[in-house]
Amino acid sequence: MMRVALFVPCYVDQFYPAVAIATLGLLEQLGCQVVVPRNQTCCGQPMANSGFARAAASCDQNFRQNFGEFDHIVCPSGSCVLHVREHNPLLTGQIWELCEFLTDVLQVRALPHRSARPLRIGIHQSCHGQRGLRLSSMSERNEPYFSKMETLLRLVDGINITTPARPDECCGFGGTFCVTQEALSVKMGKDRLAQHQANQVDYIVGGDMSCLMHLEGILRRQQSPIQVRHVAQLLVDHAL
Amino acid sequence: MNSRQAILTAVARNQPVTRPMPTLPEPSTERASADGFAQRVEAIGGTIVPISALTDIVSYLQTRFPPPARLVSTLPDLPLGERLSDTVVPGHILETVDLALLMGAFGVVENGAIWLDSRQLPHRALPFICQHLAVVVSSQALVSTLHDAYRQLSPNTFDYGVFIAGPSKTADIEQSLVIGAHGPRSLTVFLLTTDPSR
Amino acid sequence: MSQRFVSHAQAASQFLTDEARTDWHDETLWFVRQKRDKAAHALPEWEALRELASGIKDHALSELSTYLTQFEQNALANGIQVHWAATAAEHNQIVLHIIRQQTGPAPPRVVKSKSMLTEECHLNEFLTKQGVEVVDTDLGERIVQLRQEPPSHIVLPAIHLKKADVSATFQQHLGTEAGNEDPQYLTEAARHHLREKFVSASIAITGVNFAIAETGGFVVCTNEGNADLGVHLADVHIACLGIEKVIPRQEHLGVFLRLLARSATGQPITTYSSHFVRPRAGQVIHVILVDNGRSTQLGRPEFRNSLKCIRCGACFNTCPVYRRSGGHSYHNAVAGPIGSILAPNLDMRRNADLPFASTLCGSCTNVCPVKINIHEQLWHWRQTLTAEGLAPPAKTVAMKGMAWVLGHPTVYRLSGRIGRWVMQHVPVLVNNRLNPWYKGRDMPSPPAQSFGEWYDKNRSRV
Repeated sequence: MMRVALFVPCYVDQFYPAVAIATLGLLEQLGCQVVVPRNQTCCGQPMANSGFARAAASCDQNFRQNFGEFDHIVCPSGSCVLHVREHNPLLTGQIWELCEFLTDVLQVRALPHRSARPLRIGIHQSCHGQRGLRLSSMSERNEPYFSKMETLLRLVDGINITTPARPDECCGFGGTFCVTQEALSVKMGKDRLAQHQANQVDYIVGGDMSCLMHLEGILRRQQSPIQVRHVAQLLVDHAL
Repeated sequence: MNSRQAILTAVARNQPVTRPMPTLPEPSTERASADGFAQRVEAIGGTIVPISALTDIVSYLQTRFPPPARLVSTLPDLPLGERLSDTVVPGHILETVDLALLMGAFGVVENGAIWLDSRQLPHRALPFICQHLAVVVSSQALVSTLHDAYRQLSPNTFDYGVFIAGPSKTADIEQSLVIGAHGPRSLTVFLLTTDPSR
Repeated sequence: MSQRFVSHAQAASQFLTDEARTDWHDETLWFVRQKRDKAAHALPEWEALRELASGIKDHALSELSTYLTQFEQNALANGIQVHWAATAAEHNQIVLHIIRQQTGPAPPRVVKSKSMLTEECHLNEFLTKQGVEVVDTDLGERIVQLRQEPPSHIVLPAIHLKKADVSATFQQHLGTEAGNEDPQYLTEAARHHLREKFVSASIAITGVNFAIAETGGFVVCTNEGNADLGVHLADVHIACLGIEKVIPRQEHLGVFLRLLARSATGQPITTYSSHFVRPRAGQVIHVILVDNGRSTQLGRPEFRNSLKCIRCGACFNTCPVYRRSGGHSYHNAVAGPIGSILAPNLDMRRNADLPFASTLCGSCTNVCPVKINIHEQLWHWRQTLTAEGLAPPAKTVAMKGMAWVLGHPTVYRLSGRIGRWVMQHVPVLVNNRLNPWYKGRDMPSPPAQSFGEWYDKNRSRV
């Protein structure tokens, strides 16, 4: 049984506990022994991306205190994982984004359950997951197509995946960008949503709740019936 | 310290430790395709006219540029328009040229570009100032890629040279492509394929 | 064209007030990005070519002093006059001096093809003040010049304008028919207008795409043919280039010219790629090598890479922020992602907002034909700018406070609980006009308990 530590990003902890619960459940269903260090807070990215990486030292240290003893740390956010990998060099263990942990480490090849009902979904690739962690190929590069998230979602029966016209454009969240450049951020989000709306999706599914929180905020304002879901919520077998 | 010294000193101080010079790709092994070249020229707005002898050009151009059009040519022994041989000075006298016919040095299959340099040009302005441009390229004188093209061009063998790829164009107004910006309104490429049976 | 300073965020909000026009701008540039993709994806060796171009530039920058000297020697031997300018002001003075030397007291007739360096140096403004009229001959640049605006894009200077805008400008300045918005008609009008300028000019200024150390020559690329028409008819050619434009060998052009136009517009090569080695009989060629902060940037390891830029504009076209905010919002000669990492080097205080005009999505880095890590440099500039004390005070306080909370798990848990309680019970405290999030988005609905609280209740025994 593989022992892994679960890192729950601060905003997921506070606003999207269901995502963390689904991640925990999924990892356990796949045979992991999951430890949740109780003094974890944040990866430090919000400060660093605002130009205050040096102020995030206490955060970085707290992260190492909580996760230093683990070989594998799994986190349901590409963005936080990218930050820790690039900016917390003293961390000894390996931190994984959930999808890549499933495809590359656990090498999951089958998820023997159906989705609760037939679903039409659109994938929202987070830029940090896609371009930063290389969780999927990108339209900018001349390279063969791949997508770790899509590979996993295709293992669940009843999920119909659609692709937006611009497959991998940024949604405009961008950390503090979403408030410092409020107008641009909302416009980018609306444009991203319009392409999923054109595909008549039920859910927009992603690996980063930060992007999805931003998109959800716009969807609710528009009174749209479309829901956002973290990929873990579709991969976990709710019947178990 | 003058600016030259100041700049060179600052650059020498601030440049990082030497990084290796990468090696360029090997020459293409596939034969440069005349069809590929023709397709590319058409794709960038040029017109391909296959010819088997230079004399084929005369009737083609005479039909399309009847008098009083001003035709100039650098091709010897071709009864067509004014023959420009030596250096033309100044370039302004070329302003009224309707069509210039020039010999291209070679063509590049990957992008449809044709190389012309001071050795083929009586005046550097000619291929730009004429209203229409026609260039002869031999199908024997094609290279596959731009890497191969530069292998043909020994440094310091020309004073001025230009790759010309299609007619002059612009898309500066709402990205609408307009052929004939400041330079030639059309480019005709006479692709000379010498038929060995003739 | 100095105007009251408007930050990128303010200018972007202004740009976005006309949503239909923003959509048009976005879609027009996205179309260019798609043309680039088509061209890039048609070359199987594309990624290897980028690597090669990046490697050649890395090498060239690491031995730049040698290559600059070699370029100078060879250019001089070719009969080209070489000048060095440490600053933009010195560059402008050199240009003025050459013009005065050539024309004496007569009014000089100067044409100029596209050169972002001369934009960076504000050459036109300077020469105009000295009584020298410069006519920009690139169609897009002429359009914005007539409108007394700066270019909004380094490759597509008038991309922010619609046909109707150009039509109105040409009607006013060139006497074209009112309401005739046909691009063909308008381009033809510009052709006639500029031919006159070409034929009468005595001095032609151009930029330089690549200078070759090995030959002492340089290459200028255009689609319109305006650089060539200018220089081949004028007596004097002044070529202005940044010192970072020097590449070692002529054969390296094969790499860069394969990438440049494909990245810029999706064309396999620009219509004209002109190689200047020696002046024609009776002509004088001057080359001005300009530093203007480049040697400083070369000494900053995190930012040095920006000097590899070949000015293709691909990062503009792909940038979701640029497409929706327009080039003028960057208040710098070079806009877009690359401009945002070059501008702080020129003036950190004035351009402190630009590295924040990005979501760090990284698309720029991955379209860049010379593999500049643009989004990483944006991140590094953010650190540098805040360290220099150039962040707004409120942000500094907020970030330090946030770091303190997140560095103390007990404080974090308590703040989270309070925060969610407030959102549930006094939503007006967050759902109000002072909260920029709430302006265009609803707040997430706060759950009754955090994951941590759920875990403590349900799974505390591990």
